[in-house]
Amino acid sequence: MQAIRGHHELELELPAVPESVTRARHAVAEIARGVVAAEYNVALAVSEAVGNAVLHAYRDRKPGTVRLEAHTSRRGLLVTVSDDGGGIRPNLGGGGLGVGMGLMRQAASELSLESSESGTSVRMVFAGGSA
Amino acid sequence: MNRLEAETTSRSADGALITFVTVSGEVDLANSDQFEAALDPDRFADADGVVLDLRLVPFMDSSGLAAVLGASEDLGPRLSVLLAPESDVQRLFEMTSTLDRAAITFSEDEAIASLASERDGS
Repeated sequence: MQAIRGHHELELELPAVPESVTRARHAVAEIARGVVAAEYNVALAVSEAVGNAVLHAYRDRKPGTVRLEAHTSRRGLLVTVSDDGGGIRPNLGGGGLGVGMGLMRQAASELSLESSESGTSVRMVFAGGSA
Repeated sequence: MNRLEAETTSRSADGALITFVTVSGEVDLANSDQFEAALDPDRFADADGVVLDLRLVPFMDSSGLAAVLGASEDLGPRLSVLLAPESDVQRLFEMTSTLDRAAITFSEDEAIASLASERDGS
């Protein structure tokens, strides 16, 4: 993990395992503190995005990694969660509530998603401001 | 590992045996299995009511919410979920429009009263 104080940047590559959800959330929370208006939104969206990658990216595949990038800008905080898994596919009979994407859309000011058989990338912007 | 603690105590209230499950720590995918296990309905077979106290949970994501809603389905009117007012956990219920899928309360007295009214059918 590399966090450059004063520049508020983060790049992290984690194994796609449940424990990485916690590590990713805490790492981004450090960057977000005092930068975004709603720190919980950032924590929630990162948790959901990394959780989705852990649960779904490498389903029926060799386990892989989840990449997390975050940096601050005049707009606030930009966070990208990406993987090299199989893309977003129907998960028939899968567990969970299926609310992760909806939560990310509510939590982030902007959200864009790219997904293919080569992987998925979720890009989120969180508005700046102090809580 | 995301450390989660779930303390279970039981006491009588209004003539009923109420089990309190007090959870502390963040709840996410790393420990949602542990959280779900703490809410296994078989653990509460002898209880007239269960209060799931989430006031000491500073963060919960949808994996934790799924466990709470699952417990609410399993235990029905025997479960009351206790939240800190205006907490991030309450916010999660609001964002997912699931406030009405569990008996949400904001004080211990309210939780016990809620369970009593369900038992009385009022």
